[in-house]
Amino acid sequence: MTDDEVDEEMKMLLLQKDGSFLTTVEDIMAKEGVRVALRQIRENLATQKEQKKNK
Amino acid sequence: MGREKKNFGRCALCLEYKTLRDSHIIPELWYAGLYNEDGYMNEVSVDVSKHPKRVRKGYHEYLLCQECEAIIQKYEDEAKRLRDGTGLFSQDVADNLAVIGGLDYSRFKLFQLSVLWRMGVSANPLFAAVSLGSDEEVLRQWVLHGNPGEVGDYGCAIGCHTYKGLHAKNWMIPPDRQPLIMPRSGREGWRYITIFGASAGSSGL
Repeated sequence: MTDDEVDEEMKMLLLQKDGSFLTTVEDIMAKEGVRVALRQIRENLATQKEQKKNK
Repeated sequence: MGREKKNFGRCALCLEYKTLRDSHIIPELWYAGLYNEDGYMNEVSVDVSKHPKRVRKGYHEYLLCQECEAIIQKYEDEAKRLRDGTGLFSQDVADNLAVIGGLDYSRFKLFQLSVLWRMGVSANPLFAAVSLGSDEEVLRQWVLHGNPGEVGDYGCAIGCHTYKGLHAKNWMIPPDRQPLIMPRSGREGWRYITIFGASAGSSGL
């Protein structure tokens, strides 16, 4: 996306030419995708543990 | 001799045939918090068929020649300043919102674009979500010739993630590609989000 295609409000969040940027601080667990991934990883590990036990 | 032959190939950045270095896709400095006391990190997948594995020295492949590694090193040195907080200032402007300043725009933006570009050209399936199309060549030229473009050209945003109140610096999550629509103009593009080290980077296309 080129410079003139980006809304001015969005541009505020980008790295600026003076070397500054506006940053958001967010807890990683607030991300739905991360929560889902962690749940799947836990299930994955449990399944593998079970498979190992049954060998 | 066999090793040298294996390392000889076309540099992805300058496109010349040279001896290639075992280049990191994400710079090694951002892996520091991921290694345990035995010097490895654990890679786990949501795919049940993939077993967890130990990874040493991050993710790397024969990609760049020595001269191009030196070009990218200059950009990575600027990123190291952000990681270490060297010569930077930070000002809280609202809850969960801060302004960080003191970076060199060109070098830091080219650091971000170089990571995006490296993910795009990498053969590692972990970075398969990054599909740059014709933008790959544009970014290669910019990274090679030190052109950061304007603020909104492949604009880069950076967020800071915490986990239970602490910096989430022992995470790395492979890049994700999401559609991006400008709220006001309705223009469409792509956004790549990746999380590594103590920060998250997002680049829009």
